[in-house]
Amino acid sequence: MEEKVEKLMRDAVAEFNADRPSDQQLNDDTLTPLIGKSTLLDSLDLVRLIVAVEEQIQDTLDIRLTLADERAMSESSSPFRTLGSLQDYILQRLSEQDDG
Amino acid sequence: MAEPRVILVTGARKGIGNSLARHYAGLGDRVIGCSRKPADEYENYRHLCLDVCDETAVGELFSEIKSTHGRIDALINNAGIAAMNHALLTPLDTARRILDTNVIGTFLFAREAARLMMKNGGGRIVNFTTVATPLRLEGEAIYASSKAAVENLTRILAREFGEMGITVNAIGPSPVRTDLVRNVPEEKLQSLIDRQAVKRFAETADITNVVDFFLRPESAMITGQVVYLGGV
Repeated sequence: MEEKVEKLMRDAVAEFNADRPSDQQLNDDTLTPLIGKSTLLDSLDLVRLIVAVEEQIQDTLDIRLTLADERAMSESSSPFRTLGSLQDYILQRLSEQDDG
Repeated sequence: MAEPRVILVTGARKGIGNSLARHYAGLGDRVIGCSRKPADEYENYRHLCLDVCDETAVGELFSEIKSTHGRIDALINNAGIAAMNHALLTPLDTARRILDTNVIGTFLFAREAARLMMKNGGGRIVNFTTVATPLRLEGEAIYASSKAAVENLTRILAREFGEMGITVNAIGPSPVRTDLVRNVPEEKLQSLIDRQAVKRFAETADITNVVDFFLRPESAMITGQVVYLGGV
């Protein structure tokens, strides 16, 4: 599952980058920041990226996952810090779905 | 010839939704309609059964639109229910059902449509309100309140979706002779019409005219607007 999620994250970033100028491309590295001072993204960009990731999850895994739910917003450490933390959060949510 | 538009009409089995679906199918657009009960299909028109508040079913509908058409150009968020009753006599279940269908249903379809529209550079969302909201009609506390929520939803979604090229507007029809007003006493309808600047029942063509305007490519700057019929 980890490999699948890594790939769908890369695909989501590629889809997100397709509409962006060459100097605004998001690196698909796990350390890429999504929020905070050092990110390239404004709030609407983050919305677009999350939508792209959710759609990749649905298209590749046939699972509808809402990432920006109340739980994500109430975590002491936001799952949207970096691409890597988002990936970990997705894996965690998917494993919980498997557990029932 | 321009490519046909892909238009989704909720509550398309009867009344205004049915007229709008037939209007756009007749123009050659690809129209998908939905309602809780089945309806006849015709050229350029496909019908699906669902409850507009069922998130899973609505998600599946949009997945199907995505795989079949790859896009959606316009959402006509017409599905709605009403129950005219004094507030003191309105059952809580009725109040919840009206808010669910009219507010949650409208929000859910707008959210899913916008997700698809943003990928294609934009689209048009048309919501439905009512003259009962600005007229603060007695006997329609929950229905008019639900549509007040739809109006604010329209204005805020217009702002949130504006950068994505998606316009969000609402039409507020004055009384039209449909099932929605079937149980309203004639004198009540007449007193409502007497409060309008144009004192007659609206026809579906009056509604189509406004929706056509919102859907036109030239209306890209028209968003967050609520247009009432009849001059209230």
